[in-house]
Amino acid sequence: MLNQLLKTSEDMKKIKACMQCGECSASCPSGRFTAMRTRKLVHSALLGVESVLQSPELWMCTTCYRCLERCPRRVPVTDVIISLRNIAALEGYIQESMKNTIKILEKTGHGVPLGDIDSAYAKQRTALGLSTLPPTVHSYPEALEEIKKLFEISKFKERISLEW
Amino acid sequence: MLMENQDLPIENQLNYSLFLGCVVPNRYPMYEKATRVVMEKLNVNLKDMEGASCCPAPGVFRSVDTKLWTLIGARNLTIAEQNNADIVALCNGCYGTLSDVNHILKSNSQVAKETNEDLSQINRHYNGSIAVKHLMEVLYKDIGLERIKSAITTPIKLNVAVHYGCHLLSPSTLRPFGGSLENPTFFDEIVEATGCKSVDYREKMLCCGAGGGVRGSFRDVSLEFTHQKIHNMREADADCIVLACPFCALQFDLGQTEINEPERKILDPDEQPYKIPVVYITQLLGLAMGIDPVELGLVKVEGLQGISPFTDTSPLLAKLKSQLDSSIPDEGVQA
Repeated sequence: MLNQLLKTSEDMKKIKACMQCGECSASCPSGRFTAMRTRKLVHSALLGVESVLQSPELWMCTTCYRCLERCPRRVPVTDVIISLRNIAALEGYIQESMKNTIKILEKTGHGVPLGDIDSAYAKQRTALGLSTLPPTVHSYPEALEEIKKLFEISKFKERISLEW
Repeated sequence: MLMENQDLPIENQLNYSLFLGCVVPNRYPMYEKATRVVMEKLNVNLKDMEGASCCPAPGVFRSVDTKLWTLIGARNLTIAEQNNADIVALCNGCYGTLSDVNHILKSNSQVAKETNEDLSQINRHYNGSIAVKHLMEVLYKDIGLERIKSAITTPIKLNVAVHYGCHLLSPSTLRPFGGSLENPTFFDEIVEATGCKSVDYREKMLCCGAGGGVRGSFRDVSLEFTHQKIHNMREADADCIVLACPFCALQFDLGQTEINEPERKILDPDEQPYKIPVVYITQLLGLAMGIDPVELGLVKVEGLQGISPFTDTSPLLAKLKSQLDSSIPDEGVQA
């Protein structure tokens, strides 16, 4: 799968320009606090080393874009990390917290929903003089149906295993 | 002199589709309130985006499945197209998603075609007829510093630690601000229009630590970023943090209380706990426009458990009280 993407994905093709200078690792704030080494992730991807997809470090990137901005060869490093995450997800490697957020979005239309009408969050809105429910998918049940439909249309559940 | 801008002819009125996202309306509703009140003062019309969903969050959805991310983002864009008004986003994550999805659909006809085939099944169509802007772009470029300054009635004096947030600025090729990515100034200029001082602090452009799904998956890693930043802000004697992203806000506001938890062992043994109040940009502007701090949601709603703000804002309000009381002109002076 990784080797296939190296040939077809535009972002992944661009990593062939990487000269392994290490500017990305030097710029990476996560690399200061963790074992994440951006240069190594890019190198593994370049060589098609499949084990990179199982690496927890792949998920320690905050997508701050410093690596992409500073790369002297204009490799879209952050986009490469996102592409690698997409492949990892197809192969079943997804962080548990992300699985939950996706399920919550499918159920409510929000990644961070308001909760019940008598939740503290709803009461806080009312106390501030705002509508108790925001004018989002929370106020429009037919809008939530559209979101559920988009999950179906994109065949998300067939492609990505979240143990629904 | 007061509020000249309210007399602007109607054709000069700016119109936007207000994209609320998730964290603002559902966890930090005072940012929604302050934005609505301040925009009205600035004669800016905000249309609600009825039935809008999560943007969807780039850290989770773009990371896991770019296809679904694009599709749900495109649906949100069609709501603004129906409003016939550009989007103003209050969150760096929402801005990143909607602006980048808009760019992909406008520049890649194949993705646009496939997306529209999918959207047709929910009777929607993406036309590419609107732009996506961040609140800071609307303030700085569309409304402009001069108009903001003319609305300031009660200048305030605080040392402010400005936090830009990553997706406001990057990827810079798709962002509107130009200038230096490593040392931008537009946010500081707006903050200083209120009378405050934007203080320099070490590693000002460092990420808050929350993005990319890191807060959800590796909480303590994300707090290491936050700890570094908040330490540098305190070193610079900041009275408050001012930002324009509710997810960064959550990371600083709730994150400070998490950093202070001894069992996390993030604080050094001799390090004092952190308690720097977090303020959204429209709350700060509202204060300097003479709007009541209660109306701006700077005073915590009483009697509710587990709601924001988590870091106490009352020391900041105490500091402001003497300034605001003395700077409000007498009736006679106004006349």
